[in-house]
Amino acid sequence: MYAQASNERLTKWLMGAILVIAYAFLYMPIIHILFASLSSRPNFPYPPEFDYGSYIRLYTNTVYQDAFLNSLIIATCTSILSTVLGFLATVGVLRFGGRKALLYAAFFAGPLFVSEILLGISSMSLYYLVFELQGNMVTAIIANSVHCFSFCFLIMAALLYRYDWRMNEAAVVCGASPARAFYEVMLPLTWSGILGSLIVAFVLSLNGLDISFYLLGATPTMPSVAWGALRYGVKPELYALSSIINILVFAAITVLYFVARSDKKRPME
Amino acid sequence: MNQSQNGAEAPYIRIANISRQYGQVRALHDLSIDIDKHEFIAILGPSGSGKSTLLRLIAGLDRPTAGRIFFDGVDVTDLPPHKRGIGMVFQEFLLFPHRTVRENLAFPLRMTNQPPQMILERLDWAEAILSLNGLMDRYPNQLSGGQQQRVALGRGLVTHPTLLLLDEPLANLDRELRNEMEVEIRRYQKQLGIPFVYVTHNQEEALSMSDRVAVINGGKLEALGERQLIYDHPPTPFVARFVGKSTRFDGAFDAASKKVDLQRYNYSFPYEEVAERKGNARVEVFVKNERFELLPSRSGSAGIPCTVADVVLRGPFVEYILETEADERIIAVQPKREEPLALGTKLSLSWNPSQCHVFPAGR
Repeated sequence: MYAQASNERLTKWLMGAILVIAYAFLYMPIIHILFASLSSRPNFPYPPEFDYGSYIRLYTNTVYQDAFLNSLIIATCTSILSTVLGFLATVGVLRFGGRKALLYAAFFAGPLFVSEILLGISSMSLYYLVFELQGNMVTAIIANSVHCFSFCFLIMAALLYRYDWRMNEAAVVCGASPARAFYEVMLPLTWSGILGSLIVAFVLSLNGLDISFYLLGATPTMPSVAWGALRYGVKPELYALSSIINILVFAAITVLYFVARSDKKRPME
Repeated sequence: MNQSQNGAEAPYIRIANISRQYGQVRALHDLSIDIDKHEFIAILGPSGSGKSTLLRLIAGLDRPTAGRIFFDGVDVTDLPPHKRGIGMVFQEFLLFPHRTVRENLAFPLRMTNQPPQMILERLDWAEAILSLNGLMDRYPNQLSGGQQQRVALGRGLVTHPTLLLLDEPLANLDRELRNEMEVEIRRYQKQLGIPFVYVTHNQEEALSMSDRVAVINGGKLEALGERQLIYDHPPTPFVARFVGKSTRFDGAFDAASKKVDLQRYNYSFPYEEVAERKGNARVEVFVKNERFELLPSRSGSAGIPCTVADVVLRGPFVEYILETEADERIIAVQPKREEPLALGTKLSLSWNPSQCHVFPAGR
């Protein structure tokens, strides 16, 4: 009895330790950057000496601000565009795909496997040659949406796969117009998937360097400015910037977590 | 709903020459049914017969390839489902899982923009008539199957619709609950006085609840009539086979002697009505299992000789599984007696010729 109890305690302790190591592996670089951005000695910030100078310099640096704003615009538009398109594709495949649904789905997920650099270069030349479009924010948003679409499609397809489309019919025979059936029944039952898709597309296009880089040229975005800055040595502003982005991303993940939990809170059984 | 403009003559619901084709597949072919205002009609058919398609066409969830549908004299064929003023109950209930019972019941009232006072009244009414007391604030997944079924019925009925469509609503319930709900559903229909169109593949449900039964097979209307009539006088071999539990025999009709001879048994019975063909015509004979007469076997008796192979007790009834000399198994249903027949008893099986149904074979 006693041996068994201590065995259990040992197992539990070991599992806890493994969890801590795993988290450390994942988060040490991120925490290091946070430390570095808050330190007066960014190159070796241990033991920490707190200093907010890099954040103030970042605040006064218009290049970074422009880049941040551009990235925000690209990420917001991309996440909305690719989620709307992904939602339509999901509805099409799941509802009207019939026996070929898997084939359609495979081709919708295909762009996932094309590397971002290739997609960036090819979008740039295609838009220029065929449509005579110069690289600008709009083309950057379109190219990013191509990349994010597949992620959005997969996320929403996984969730809507379990959605019973006859719920819409049930709503419609109750007197709801198709639009009201969508808002009153379908959206409340599937919105966690839609929000997940929005957040993933937002994060992907906010941080993606390659596609925006080829399509925007001189217009700065966060990743391209960060990449450019590397050539002249890492500056503490960059650390501050990364930390802010990381915090934003974590905020998004937290939102997702609470959404998922509020979904589960609804009594099962 | 609009008053009928054609006077009292026009039927309340008219389904006129409806067809539905999916590519090459004919789901429904030229089908017409009129339904009265106070009628409970059962649409009975095997799976794939087109009965669910018919229900979806009435609901407006699908459009007919040809034909029209009228509600109270108004052509609704081109109206979308949410403008038809109907209620519908689904086999899988399809309650909205993110809404409480109260919100589920209020949903059709809100969608049709009823005043708040009316919504409250109707919710009270539904709570009382469906005995949902104490369940109103629960979520559907906290309810038992029978309770979910009652909420689904309530959601179909709260608006007092033009008609209620029921798509196999009892198929997911266990037997005992099903019998209970059959009585309940019929009671609601009588109380509300609106037509119920009840689709089922279960002939017991169709017979126990409805006023009239429409039998559908292969997209066509096989029979439409009072339930008693459909049961006692099936107009086609399909109906004879599908409604009630019957045994089928192959036979030949001899026009000269006006007799039907069974092919595999030395048994014949007088029969008048097979007039379609002259001379010896092959026929199918259907006998309802409860209409067999069982007599002790005696030499020279006229019936089909058989032995009791098994006895199944069904409460007030007994099913005798009989083995004939031709190695066929026949089920005969009899009222339960004090002493059921013992296994191995030799019997002579016969029936009253007026109680069986004879159709020309090979149709």
